[in-house]
Amino acid sequence: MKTTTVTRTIRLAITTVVVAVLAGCAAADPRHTVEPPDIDFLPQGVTDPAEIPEATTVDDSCDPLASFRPSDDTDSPEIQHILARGRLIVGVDQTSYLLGYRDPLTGEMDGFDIRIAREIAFDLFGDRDAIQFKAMSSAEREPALEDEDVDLVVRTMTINCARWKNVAFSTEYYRAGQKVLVPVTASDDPADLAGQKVCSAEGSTSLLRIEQELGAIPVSVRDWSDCMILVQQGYVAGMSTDDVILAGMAAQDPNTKVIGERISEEPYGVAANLEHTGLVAFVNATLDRIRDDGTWEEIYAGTLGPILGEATPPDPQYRD
Amino acid sequence: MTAVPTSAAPATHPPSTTPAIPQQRPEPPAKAPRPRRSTRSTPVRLTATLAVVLVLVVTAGVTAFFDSLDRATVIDEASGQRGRMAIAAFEMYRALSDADSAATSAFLPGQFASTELADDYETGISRASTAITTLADESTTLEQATIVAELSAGLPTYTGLIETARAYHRQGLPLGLAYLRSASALVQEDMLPKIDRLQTHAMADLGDAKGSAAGFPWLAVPACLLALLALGRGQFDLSRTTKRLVNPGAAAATLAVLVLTGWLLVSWNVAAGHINAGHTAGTQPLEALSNAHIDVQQARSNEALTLIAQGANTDYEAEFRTIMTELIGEDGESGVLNEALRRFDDPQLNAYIGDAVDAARDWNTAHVALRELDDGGDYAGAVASAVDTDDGAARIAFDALDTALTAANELAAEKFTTETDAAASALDLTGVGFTVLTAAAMIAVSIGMQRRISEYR
Repeated sequence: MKTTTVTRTIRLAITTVVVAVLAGCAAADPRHTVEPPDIDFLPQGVTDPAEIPEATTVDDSCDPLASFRPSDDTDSPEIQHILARGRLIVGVDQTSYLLGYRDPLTGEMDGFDIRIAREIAFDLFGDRDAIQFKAMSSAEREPALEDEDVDLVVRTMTINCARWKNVAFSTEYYRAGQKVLVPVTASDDPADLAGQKVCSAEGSTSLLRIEQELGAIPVSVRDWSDCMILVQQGYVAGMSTDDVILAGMAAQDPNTKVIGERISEEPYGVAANLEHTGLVAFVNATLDRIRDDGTWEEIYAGTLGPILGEATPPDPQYRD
Repeated sequence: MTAVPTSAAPATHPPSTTPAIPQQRPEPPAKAPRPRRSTRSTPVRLTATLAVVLVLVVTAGVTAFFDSLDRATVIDEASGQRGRMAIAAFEMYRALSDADSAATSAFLPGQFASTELADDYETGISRASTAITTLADESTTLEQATIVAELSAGLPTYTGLIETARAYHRQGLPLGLAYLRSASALVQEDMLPKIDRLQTHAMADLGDAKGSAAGFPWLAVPACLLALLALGRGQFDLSRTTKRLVNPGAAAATLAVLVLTGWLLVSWNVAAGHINAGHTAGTQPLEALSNAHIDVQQARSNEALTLIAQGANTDYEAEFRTIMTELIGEDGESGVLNEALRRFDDPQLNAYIGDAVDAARDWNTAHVALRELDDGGDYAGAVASAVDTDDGAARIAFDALDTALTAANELAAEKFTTETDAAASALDLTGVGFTVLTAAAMIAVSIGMQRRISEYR
């Protein structure tokens, strides 16, 4: 009798403990089924559709292509300063293949713009290597000249009246224009791009022409080269900007081609500080020389020619 | 043993342990003891006392058991799991930054064939993949699982972009740089912020878990005290009834509950100490220093990009300056590293942080010189400073900074793990121990009192 009471009590106590423990252990183990994520394979900074920059009214208050008469006179203070320093400092691009780029393996600069700049150094010093390149973005070009961080800028810079207010331009050394790059399998007619996505760099006026001239949907990216990634990934039907930049892209991917006529005119000039007219005249003398002695053709054939076909240097225009 | 049951003065019956049975209510106190008078009521009363004691002892045992079980669960699942998650998130963050920085540095002229950078990249990727498996293992919410799935899909995309970049680079084509930048942007702008979210969640959960893992056992301790009180009262009652000083069963039960209470308090105290130490010496420095380490890797990428991609739309030099200011401040005396030096007090950790501060200052100086070289036309000299492991001032300082922060982070992660393990082992055997002690107390007090009760039969 007494033993059964004790046993019963103990049994009850143990059962209570065991039940409680089991209840505690029965915690749920949450597992989740996850849908395959929608991974964004695009380069960062893609804006689709692009924000179109406002159309700028064409400033025709001047004759932009007319520059100063060529002169090999080195007496001007800015040229004296450069000679005393022993090297010419030039603002360039280092990411546009065939135009202004750094050879990824050697670190050497090369390209059409680079070789033009080297000719100016040659006329100043008799040495094409007496030159220092400063890589800069488009937006940095004018401030660098105004602050005299660089003597010259040779970086796909279009001559126009608005810029003439801040910097001085040489005569035109290359006539570029907006074209379109498409996969090699696509049609040769830019009109067929109507309604399709076409890429350009953000903030550029090319975006406007993609919409107006091609009737296509503009997509913007941070840098030109990101457009090329989008073309390769098939996200856009093509990319559109100055033909020289497209030539550099097409040269890196044989599965692409540059098509159509220019839908804009981009006369490139060598820019200098607004005050440095003596230097500009000297640059014009160099441009004169390379037009006459075949150097221009040689440079073109060694860089852009194989992609863009034959071309001749633009005729110089002068203010008087 | 011969028991001589005597009647107790009814007035001394403790009201709390005496069942209210009206018909057994004693009559007004009698002057002289009247033997046998209470023989009918004594066993009932003692049985009732025993029942109350048993209920309180089992309550004490069960609350102590669950306190310790909960604590162990929180330490293991919450503290341990969230901690492992936080550490894995930090690890992934660092591994990806390391890989990206190495991949970018390999694009500096003359570095493409560097086996060291290739190793760094591959190690970073494999560490990141491993960290993803840990993150997948430890994620408990749908949101976490989704982020982990996105990270998991992002990694092969990243390596694919890097391989495309390398293929172009190998041919001397600058388009490789575009793919490199695109890959870096995927890491910097998409993956790292996601890891950051995981990390922030894990750290917040960890803070909550720390609270419950180190909290005072507010239920169990009073329950134990109540049980002890009841046992004491029961014995007092028993000794008055039986005229014996000690009931061995009740005494043994009291001892068992005392041991249980002591064990509970000691295990709580030790576990809480380790949990708090794991926080202050582990996760806190880990958070501060991991973020610093990531900044350092990003600055390294930016330094390389000032040499190979300056002129694109991103101002890498400005980004480098921003990060450097964040690390050591404009004056070299502030910023997160100097702050960490003041905030943490582990001497070994602070030695590493001190090294990191020195290296960051050296790097800052070297970087200014490097930019001067590049801007002054000595591109080759600038590249040499960035890449040369023997003479490159920037490279040497970066390596020193990287080494110091790696060591500091590893130390902090290790501290967290050892402290959490120590906290968990402080609770080892408490489950079994508390059960055994409770059962022992119940059996002892039952046997002890039952004997006395039976003597009335």
